[in-house]
Amino acid sequence: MKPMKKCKVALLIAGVCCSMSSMAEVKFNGFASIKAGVLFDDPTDLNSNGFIDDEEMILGGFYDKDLSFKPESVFALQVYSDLGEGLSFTAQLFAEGRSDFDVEARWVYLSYELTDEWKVNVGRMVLPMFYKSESEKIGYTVTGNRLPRSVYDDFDFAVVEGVRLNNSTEVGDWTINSSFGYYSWEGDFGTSNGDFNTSFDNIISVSAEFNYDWLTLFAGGFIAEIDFSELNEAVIYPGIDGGAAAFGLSATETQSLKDTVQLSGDGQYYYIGASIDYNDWLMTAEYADYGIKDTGDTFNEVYYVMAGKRFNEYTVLYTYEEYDEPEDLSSLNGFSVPAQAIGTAIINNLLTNKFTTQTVSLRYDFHSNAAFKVDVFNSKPNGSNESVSGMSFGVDLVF
Amino acid sequence: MRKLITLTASLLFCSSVFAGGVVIVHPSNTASLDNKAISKIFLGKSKKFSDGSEAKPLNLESGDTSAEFTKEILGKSESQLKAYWSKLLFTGKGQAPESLASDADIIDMVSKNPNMIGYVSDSANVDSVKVVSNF
Repeated sequence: MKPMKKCKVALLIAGVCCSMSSMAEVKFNGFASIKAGVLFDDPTDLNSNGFIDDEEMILGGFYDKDLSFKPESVFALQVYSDLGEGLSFTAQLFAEGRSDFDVEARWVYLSYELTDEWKVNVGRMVLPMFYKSESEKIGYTVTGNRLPRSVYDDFDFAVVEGVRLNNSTEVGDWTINSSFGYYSWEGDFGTSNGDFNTSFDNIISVSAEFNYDWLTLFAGGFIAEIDFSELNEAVIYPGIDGGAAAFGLSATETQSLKDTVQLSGDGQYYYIGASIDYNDWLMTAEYADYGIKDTGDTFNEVYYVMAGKRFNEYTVLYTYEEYDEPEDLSSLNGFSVPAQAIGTAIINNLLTNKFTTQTVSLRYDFHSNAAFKVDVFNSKPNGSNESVSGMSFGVDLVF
Repeated sequence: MRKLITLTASLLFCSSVFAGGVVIVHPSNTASLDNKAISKIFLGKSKKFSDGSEAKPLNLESGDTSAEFTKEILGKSESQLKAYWSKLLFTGKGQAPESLASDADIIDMVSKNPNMIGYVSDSANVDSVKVVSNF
């Protein structure tokens, strides 16, 4: 019976494919990155706080002294079906080593061309959080081996569900591409204390790119109602209660402190920058500023500047990046000294200290569909004499 | 005689290295098309000709003519163009123009459809279409 079953399944698949191709044009495309990395030294406790914390992980990327091929290797397969009369369907299945190659639907959307300039997408999409967020996993489109991790860190809420209007307009010699989206996200938010169910509601996003031949200017951002109740209840409030009991804070001040340093609130994420590609000279600079307003979350100020040059099929690139969350304790003004001490401890625990990274990248386009790249990087926390150096390299391909 | 052979050899060499071509449209197409306008159409930045009619670009599958067109008209290397379209394709912002296998296929399509624009090698017979640019 089994071979018969297999035969039926094969016939069924053939039948579905056949009927799909007779109804609509179906295209398969994909991309993949096979990458490896290593640190020249073991990750160390650079800021001498007694353990290897988030920033030291970020500095080292995902690697230690043993060469690993897993963390930054990815693959994706995209199916696109043109249903005619402006309607199309796209699904992109994506897997990456850092998530044990669990396959996820990164993009699944229905698209309809309203006019030549306006298109609406409905479904699951990547949030245009920063300039290159939507394409950050497509290694081939990245000049170096990886995007600056100060800005393009992994965000749990990168993939959202909703509706997006895309516009493409010509104004004189300029082409303006913009998008306007309304989305939501719910899922696990990873912290050093574990994962907590979190939601981003009423995400309103705007992004725009102005392109004139060799010059591109870009800006965008989103706002969202962020609900961190589970994290507040599990981590922030018990921390305050413990401190309040030790210092003998009043119930009123304890509650007021909870309201001040809890994390639910209005998220605000913005980016701005420019990119030049002139006579094979390349330069890109991007600055981003983000955080949750009027909460214990400190606003991040991150940026990178990269400059490079193409020499036929070779490209060399230098990147300087900086990550900062400047301490802001102004919300604690008016509290008693012990309450300020508790609040300060919580706010400082939530932020990552300033660090800078410098990277030299080499890209070799050895094939029309593939590029070999190598990055050598050095990261240094603010005020530390020590730094972490390492390299990552690999092949990015599109098909 | 020796000089003539050398000259012939160098011409052959030139033609294989500089695989030039021509950009073609339907004979009825009166739109003004300089290289900048052609580039915008092939990069998906313009959807229309200067007269307002819809523009449908056709690529030639990879080869010397395609590489020369990409370099001379679009101002990009093949890898740069691949990266450009990959970024649009995998983020839901656009699809690269359709590619056809031969000069004859491109000429056949363009000669039958006033909205189409393509390019072929300069050795192709372009009697049935209108040449708007050389590269």
